[in-house]
Amino acid sequence: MTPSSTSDGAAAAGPSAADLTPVAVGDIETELARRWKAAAAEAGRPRLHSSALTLIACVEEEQDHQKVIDAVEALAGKHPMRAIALHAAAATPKGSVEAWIGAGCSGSDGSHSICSEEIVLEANAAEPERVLSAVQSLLVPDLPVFLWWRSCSPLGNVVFERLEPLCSRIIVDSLRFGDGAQAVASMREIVKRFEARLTVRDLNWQRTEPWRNAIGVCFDDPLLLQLLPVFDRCSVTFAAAAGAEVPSARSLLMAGWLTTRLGALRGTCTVAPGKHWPDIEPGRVVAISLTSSSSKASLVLVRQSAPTAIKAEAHDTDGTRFRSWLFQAATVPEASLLDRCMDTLGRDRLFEAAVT
Amino acid sequence: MATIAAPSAAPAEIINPFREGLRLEGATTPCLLVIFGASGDLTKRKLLPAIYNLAQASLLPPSFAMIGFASTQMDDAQFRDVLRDAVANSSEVRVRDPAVLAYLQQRCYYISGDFGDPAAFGALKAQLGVLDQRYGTSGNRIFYTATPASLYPPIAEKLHESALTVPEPGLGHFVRIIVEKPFGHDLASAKMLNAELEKFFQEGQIYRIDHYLGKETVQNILVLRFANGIFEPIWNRRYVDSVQITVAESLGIEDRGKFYEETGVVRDVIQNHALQLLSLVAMEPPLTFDARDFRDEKIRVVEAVHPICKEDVPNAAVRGQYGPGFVAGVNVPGYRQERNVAPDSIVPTYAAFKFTVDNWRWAGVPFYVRSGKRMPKRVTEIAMQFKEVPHLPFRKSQVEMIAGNVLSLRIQPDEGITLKFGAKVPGPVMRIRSVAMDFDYGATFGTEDASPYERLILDCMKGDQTLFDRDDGVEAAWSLIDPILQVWQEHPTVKFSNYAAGTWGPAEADELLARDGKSWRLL
Ligand SMILES: NC(=O)c1ccc[n+]([C@@H]2O[C@H](COP(=O)([O-])OP(=O)(O)OC[C@H]3O[C@@H](n4cnc5c(N)ncnc54)[C@H](OP(=O)(O)O)[C@@H]3O)[C@@H](O)[C@H]2O)c1
Repeated sequence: MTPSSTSDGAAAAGPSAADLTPVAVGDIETELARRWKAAAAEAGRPRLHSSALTLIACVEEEQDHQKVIDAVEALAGKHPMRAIALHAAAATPKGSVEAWIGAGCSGSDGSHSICSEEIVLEANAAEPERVLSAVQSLLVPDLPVFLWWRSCSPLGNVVFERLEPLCSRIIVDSLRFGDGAQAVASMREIVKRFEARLTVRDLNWQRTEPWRNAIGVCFDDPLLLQLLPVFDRCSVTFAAAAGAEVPSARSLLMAGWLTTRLGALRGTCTVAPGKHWPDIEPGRVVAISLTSSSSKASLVLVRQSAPTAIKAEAHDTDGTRFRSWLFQAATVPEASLLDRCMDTLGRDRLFEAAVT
Repeated sequence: MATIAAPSAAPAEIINPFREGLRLEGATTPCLLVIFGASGDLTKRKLLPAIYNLAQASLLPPSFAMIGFASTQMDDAQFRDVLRDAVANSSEVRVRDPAVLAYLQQRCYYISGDFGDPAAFGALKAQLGVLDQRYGTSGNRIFYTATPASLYPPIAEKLHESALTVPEPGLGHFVRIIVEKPFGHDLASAKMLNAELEKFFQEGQIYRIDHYLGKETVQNILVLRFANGIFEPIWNRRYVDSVQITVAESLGIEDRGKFYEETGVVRDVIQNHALQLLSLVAMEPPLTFDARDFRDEKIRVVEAVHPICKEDVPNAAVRGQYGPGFVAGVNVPGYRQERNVAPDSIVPTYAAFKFTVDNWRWAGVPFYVRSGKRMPKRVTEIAMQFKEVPHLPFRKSQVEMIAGNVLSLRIQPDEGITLKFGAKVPGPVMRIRSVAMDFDYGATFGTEDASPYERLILDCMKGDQTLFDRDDGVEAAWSLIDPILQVWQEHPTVKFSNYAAGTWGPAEADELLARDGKSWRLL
């Protein structure tokens, strides 16, 4: 981020990022404009900054601001935006909305740096009207507004209920929704409630993408594709800590996708914990298999470590292995998951089918 | 591998249900890529870095491998070193990741042999079969001809003789061939090349590359025109006074004297790149961006360009050749002093044309097209000059150069859009000055552009021919250019060189516009 100081004096206590400057909500637009002018004067040429959207990111913990800012800066080149990181908590003092601003530029050659505007707001969660008024005053006119809810299920949250009508897209992370079945049920409710009006995206659904891609590519193989009609069973295995065997939301989404893509699998897909994955973060998918009740045909995909990959093997009707693949499947950082949630236009029918 | 019993209930054509909606949908069908001319300059500088970038961006299919084919003796390991060096030396490679390089190297093979040798093609066929088995590439093939153009037909013929031009029965979905430019030397040779290729491949299998169409900024012309409601209503003869297309290079011919002596600026740039720009800026909105609709419209507008007949050539076409001069403060030799150039060469390094388009939209609007080597700067742009206002109510005011509005689309460098319009100079009196409102792609979207070759190779893998030339398109472009080249051939000019390096071309080019009361934009 580009540090910049204002006349308002020393940085107040608040978000940890040292580059943020405290400013009154009502002065934010003026102060941001002043910064762009100063940056232009410094560079000796007009400083262009364009925005494609406003992103409102609601965070659970105060220190999560920085994670939002990091993600926004990582995406600035592709999604130039104004980001408003909002922390509305019960413990925050009532009566005001505290604000800080920053302007993050990527690309250091000066001539082509891409800049985003970053605003951090702290407010009391019991004052949703105050929060709404602050956020509303900061939206970039006439551009889409995305709400990134980086917290547990937003349903019933009063701040969410106020902000949601401003938005054209809601981005959640069902990983943060708790228990797997409950998480998927919440997702289902969110999708149903908003399907007519706005698009819903789930970071957790994007985490299943390497597996979905791998299965999609395996079935490009004409020999395996010929076997498709014999597959009528599937299983999804997730990494589980001892004693914690509740299926993760991710593994349930994966099973939901498999059964909606291939009708013969409906009702036959099991989701089970895998005990032999001590190094893997619990909840991650570690293996998927498609099998046949009438033959030994199978497609088995298993997660591999070092380097992280998905190994796939196809066996024909007499059990002979006839093809194997290795897919790169490195862990995708949060910024990239967010990018994918922002990238695609329109509704994600496959995701909606997988949760409903 | 054991035989797979076909399931009794299997329908004739099974669709892969797991592909729909994936981000890689349609993008990365398994395939084997064969590069003819794998030891050459194009392969090293453009193709291998582009393929690496695709791998790095996870855009290659996991079921993928490539075979290099050329006469230089090399084994697989040496070709893998060529790949490594190409990646290391290319400025187009964005992220250098040893894991990606290793991954790609493992899928990289080489065959040495002559393109006229049937045994070499036998070896190629055998290798393709082995790699299909190893990588599950399903019999899908892309052949890339990075060779001298004279070799395209013999390669196609040898592929045909080896039964490699069609998918193997029961295996594979496609066989495609990417053909590099130049596509012909004139209309007759382009027609002959089309005929030769079409003996062995269907038009739907042939991907003729003009890398200009793979550039992001060229595609942006289409978005600007057809995704913004404000431009299309004024994009016609009622509002547009004239159009200027400039493709200027500050470089000379570098070490390519032999190539340039056979080519010249018209074949090198105008017949392909500049006419592509003209067609994109002048075409009617296509119904869809499907290959057929898009290319139909693109070709239709080239066909609507009024042919410059032999008698009109002196009035509508100007040629030039640079002499010694200064570019960016550096003393540079004239064209005839360059290496591998004849001291009395009559090859043009500059050309300017005035085209008109015979249709309702553009009747009477001149399209001035110029391209040259050793110009003062490198710039490619299209400028739409709008008509002046019918009546200016500021007669008593100081009006400084208030010309009509200009919308300029910069293709390179610093891709962007500039709109020039009149604004009041602050102060108590009414003074008007032209100002430029600038939109800079680089300052708005920071992601680095994929190279045109990446985009086009990927499109070929997807089976999308939209950004490739069609046979009738190539022939339509040559039909426009051929008569001019013939006149020039029949009347070798004696005045070369007629512009100094580092200037904007010969005086005759200025006269071409001055006759219409216009002048070239100062860039
Ligand atoms: N270079 C560029 O930047 C560029 C840009 C646009 C278009 N192009 C077009 O791309 C094509 C290739 O250009 P280039 O610059 O890469 O040419 P190049 O450096 O001369 O390479 C030609 C390649 O063809 C091989 N070759 C030639 N005759 C052969 C034969 N009889 N049998 C087997 N291999 C043979 C050569 O192999 P050996 O060397 O092993 O004999 C070499 O690999 C040309 O049509 C050119 O117009 C090039």
